Amino acid sequence: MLQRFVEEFSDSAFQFAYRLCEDAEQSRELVQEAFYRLFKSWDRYDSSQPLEKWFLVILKNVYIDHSKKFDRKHMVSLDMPVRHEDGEGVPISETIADGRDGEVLDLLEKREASGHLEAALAALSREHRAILTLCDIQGMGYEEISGVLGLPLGTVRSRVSRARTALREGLVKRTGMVAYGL
Amino acid sequence: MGCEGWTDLLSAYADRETSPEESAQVEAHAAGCRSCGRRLAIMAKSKEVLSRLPLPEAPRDLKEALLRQAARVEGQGRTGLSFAERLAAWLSGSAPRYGLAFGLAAFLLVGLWIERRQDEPVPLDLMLSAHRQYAETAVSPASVPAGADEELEEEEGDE
Ligand SMILES: [Zn+2]
Repeated sequence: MLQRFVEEFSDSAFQFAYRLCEDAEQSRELVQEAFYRLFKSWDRYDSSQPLEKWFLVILKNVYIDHSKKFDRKHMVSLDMPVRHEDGEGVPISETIADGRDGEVLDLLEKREASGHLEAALAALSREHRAILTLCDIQGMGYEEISGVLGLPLGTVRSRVSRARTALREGLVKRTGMVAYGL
Repeated sequence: MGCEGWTDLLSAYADRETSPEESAQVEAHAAGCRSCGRRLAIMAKSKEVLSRLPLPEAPRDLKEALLRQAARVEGQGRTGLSFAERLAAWLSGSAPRYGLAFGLAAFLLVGLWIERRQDEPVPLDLMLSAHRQYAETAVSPASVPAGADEELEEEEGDE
């Protein structure tokens, strides 16, 4: 059971960790840590519960421990409306962004769409990246995400939405780069 | 509400996380609002592309080490690993490095000392090599997960 679980979940645990810290070595430590805690608490595992759920709780704790080390550096309120990142704190004018939604859609239809999305994702704050990784890349539902990140459902819903707004702004910037041949 | 007010609902709709009533509202609005229709299309398309993103697999050696550990834990049934096996797993590089090099070296030396004190003192070179072996695997304090030390102590205690 444990071995099959490692087979099935080590990749997605690694991917989540990788999106979180964008560093292969750190991702490795995070995954090792999560599985180590799972193995260590194996004799306390209640087999009437799905193992996956148990692992998600562990992953959440690892994530929280891991986050504490980084969060002091980037204290931003993540659930506030997204602001333009150019330094002035001026929100992108909705009318301008609206006007470019057609270009963003074109960009997403291109063969290089995944490259643009990856770059836009990498430019997000770590928390926004984490939640979109769970939601869009790993395909988790809000309930599961709420368990992993330890957030109330309503916060998951609004944070996913903020993360998407930030992602869209990143894509708007990239349409500009494409237009200027950058 | 203005179109800004629709953002969270559009996003939840793209995730199929809206109630039937909310879904009906979103569909009715997006059908008549070009701006929200496009936003929703961007969300849905991004989600689709992201779900197909090629992602790094867990490194092979990491996976193999985890599998070996899993086999060992399962082989033990629910009784857990003996300290020697955990130490072996730790040395094989599969358990997280807790920066416990010092603690383990000390622990091992105490063990050696207890075993050997009846007959002879621990040779100095044995002590040094044990110390060096663990010191080499030490990591920076920054990567020591919170609570790791207590956890290991608690584990050693029940042997
Ligand atoms: Zn609208």
